[in-house]
This record gives sequence, C-alpha cells and structure tokens, in this order.
Amino acid sequence: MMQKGEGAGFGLSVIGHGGLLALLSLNLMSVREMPKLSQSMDVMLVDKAGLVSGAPQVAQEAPQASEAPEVADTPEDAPPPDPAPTSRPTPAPAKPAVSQKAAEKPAPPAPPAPKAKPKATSLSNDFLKGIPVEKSTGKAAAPRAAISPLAMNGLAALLLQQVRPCYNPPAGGTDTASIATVLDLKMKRDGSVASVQIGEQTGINAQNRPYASQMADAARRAVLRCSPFKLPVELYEGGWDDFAFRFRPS
Amino acid sequence: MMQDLAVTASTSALSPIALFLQADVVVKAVMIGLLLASVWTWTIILSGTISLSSALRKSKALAAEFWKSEDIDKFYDGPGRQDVPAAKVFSAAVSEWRRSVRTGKPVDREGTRARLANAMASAAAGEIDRLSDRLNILATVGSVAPFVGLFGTVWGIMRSFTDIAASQNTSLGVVAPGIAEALFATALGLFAAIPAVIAYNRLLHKISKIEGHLHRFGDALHITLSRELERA
Repeated sequence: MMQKGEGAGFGLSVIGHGGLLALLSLNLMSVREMPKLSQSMDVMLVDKAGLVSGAPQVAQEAPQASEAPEVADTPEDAPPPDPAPTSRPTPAPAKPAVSQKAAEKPAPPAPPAPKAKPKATSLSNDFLKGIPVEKSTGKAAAPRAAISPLAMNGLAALLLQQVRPCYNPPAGGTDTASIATVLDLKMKRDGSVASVQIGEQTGINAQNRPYASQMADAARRAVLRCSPFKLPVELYEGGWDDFAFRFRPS
Repeated sequence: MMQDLAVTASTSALSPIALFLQADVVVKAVMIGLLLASVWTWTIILSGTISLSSALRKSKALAAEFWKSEDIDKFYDGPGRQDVPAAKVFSAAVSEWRRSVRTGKPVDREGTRARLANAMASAAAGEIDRLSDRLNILATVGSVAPFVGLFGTVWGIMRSFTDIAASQNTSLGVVAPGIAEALFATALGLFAAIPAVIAYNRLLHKISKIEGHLHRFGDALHITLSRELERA
C-alpha cells in the first residue's frame, strides 16, 4: 500500500496532526470569557408593579385614625378610654380581613360590627364613613406595607427568571409575544403553587386577539411546570403567598 | 437563572478532544474518518512533494549530463541505469535502438524511428503514471471531505434537536454544546479538504512540468538517434 518514500511523510504528518491537536487542546480553543449580562429586570419592572400604590395608602390611613379621637372628644363620654380603642381599630379591620377573606364572609362581619358600634356610640356615626376602608384595598395594602415595593419588584423578577425556562411559546400567531398576562398565584410556603387564576391581559391588539387565551394558558402551564419556586422565605407572609404575577413572554 | 446559564456555558470545554468525546457515535465515526483522511492526505502531500521535486531535479541533471557525454553506450551503462524518469526514457530508447540496429540485417530506418518514438513515449507515460499514482486520493479527499463533515454536522444537529425536544428546555445551555460538537465535524472536513485541494493542484502542476521535460528530452533523443540512423 505504502510506497517507499511515504514512510517519512506518514510519520511527519502524524506528528504534525498530534502537535496541532495538542496545541488546540491546550490554549487556542479555550473558552473566551463572555461579558455577563447585567440584570436589567428591576429597571424594567418598577413602573409595572401596580402594588406600589397600595403601600402609601396605608400610611395615609394612620393619620386619619389619629385624627378620629379628636372628633370623638367632642361627645361627653369617657375621655381616657377613647384614645386606646380608636388607635386600635384602624389596623383591626384590616388584619382580620386577610384571614377572613380566605374563609367565610357572612360570619366575620359580625365581630367587626360590634367593635365598630362602641366606637359609633362614643364617636359619631360619620366616623366609619370617614375612613375610606374598602375591604379589598385594605386587605391587599395592609400586609404589603411590611415589604418594600423594591423587594416586591425583586420577587417578581426572581419569579420571572424561574418561569421563563419553562415557558414554551405557543406556535403560530403574529405579535403574540407582546401579550402580558397577570396570573394570580396562591403559593404554599415551600414555593409550590396552590392555585393559578388567569387575570387580566394587556398588549392585545387586532392581530393577536385570537391567541390571547392560548398565551394565558401557556403562561399558566409554564408556572405549573416550574412549580416549586425558590423564593426567599422571609418574604412569604404578605409577599408571595398571594402574588399577582405579571408574565411577559419576552 | 442567568448565573446558572453562564456557568453551564463555560464549563463545557471547547477543546477538540472534549468535543470529540461528547459527540454522538455517528459524528465520532465521521470525525475519525476525516482525521485519518487528513493524515493520509498530508502523508501524500509531504512524500509527493519530495519525490516529485527530486524526480524533476534529477531528470534535468541527467539530461544535462547526457548532452555533455561523448559515448551513448558508456552513458547507458553508467548514469542511464538510475531510477530517474529521464533515465527510464533514455534506457527504453537505447534498448530499442540496440534491438533494431544490431541485428545484422539491413536497418529499416522508418520502422526503427517509429519504434524508438513509441518506446520513449510509452516509457514517459509509464513514469508519469507512477508519479501521479496518489493524486487521485488527494482529489477524492478534497471533494468529498466537506460533504462528509457536513453529514456529521447535520446528524449532530438533528441529535441535539432531539435532545432539546426531550428535555423540554430551549435555553442556550442545552442547545449550544450539541451544535458546537456538530460544527466541529464540518471544521474537520474543511481541515482535511483545503490542503488536499491545494496540494492536488500543486502536485498536478509539478507532474505536468515533469511530463513536459520528459517529452522534450525524448524528442531531442529521438532527433539525435534518427540522425545516427542516417549514418548507420
């Protein structure tokens, strides 16, 4: 097979290939360090978190409550006991509401009512009306006041990072990636998802309208697939136990 | 998360051996085949360059020596027996000359001329055949290796798409290593093919130079011998 002058050529070429392989293995093809992507998520999400507005409202309610006793002073009854009850009621309607909301509605209203009535006798009937305590906002705002909006944004970004890898965009449709879906997540303490409710969707236009429900389903599936999430446990209470998660495909 | 992705991307080393070891069986076979083709190609390139250069050099030296020499018979017994293309042509001519002229019968000049020309042409053709024996391998490697590499790449990418479908994960960390392995097959194919094509053209050029030299030497020899034939 091999002719007489080819032995030397064969040896040379084998040596050359081995040398080249060694050279490439050693340094030439080592992975270059790529610049790491900075996490710009926080910047993007700040104005998206509608929950931010909930926190200041709680802060505004406290002064209102402190003003209430002064109104209450005008009636003749018991000046010393008044400040104590009045300072308490303002958080009181808020906190029970959280636990009650999950439970039955008709039964709980009874306890607040008796509490309110002594006030009404001691203060005035207008007092309760003066406090703009809506059941829904009070419930959402009061617990969240403990966690800063920045931390909530961080939570949303953290959740988004963990959901993204599980997300399979549905095939077909134009401009479907612009549809953002709000998912109401009820979470357990271990990070798993107890229930997912599809909330409102934004970014729907004439082209992608037929795909809106498909996108919402895809987002829900992504959340369920990645279900045990790794989120900071200290932020569970009032943080991500009941979380309005806004998912954008891109 | 981002950090995990960066880590998985940087841990998958891109050294040729790592790429080879991670690859699929078919891709591995393609890579081994291409590497062997490359080794064989370079063997032919190195030995062919050396042997063709020395053949051309020695033929030219022999021709120059022949025109200086006085006695054809003495030259035939001395340098004319070397393993050099020009010497082969020369010895074919001289042996045909001896067979035709030293018969004792009257010399058939036309027939002898024709036989001399045929003998030298066939000796030159034989030498060229011998020298260009390996060139077909270079041509084959040069034209086929890219396709073989491409086959390996297509197969590897098919495999990595199957992996993506199986893992239900489209992140770059899953996709990239498989595609890098697959592309390595094309790189090897080109690595084998490019030198083969370049060397094929170079060696072909060198062989045609040798062929031209042999023909010119043969023609000059034929002219000289037929002039001698007139005197015989």
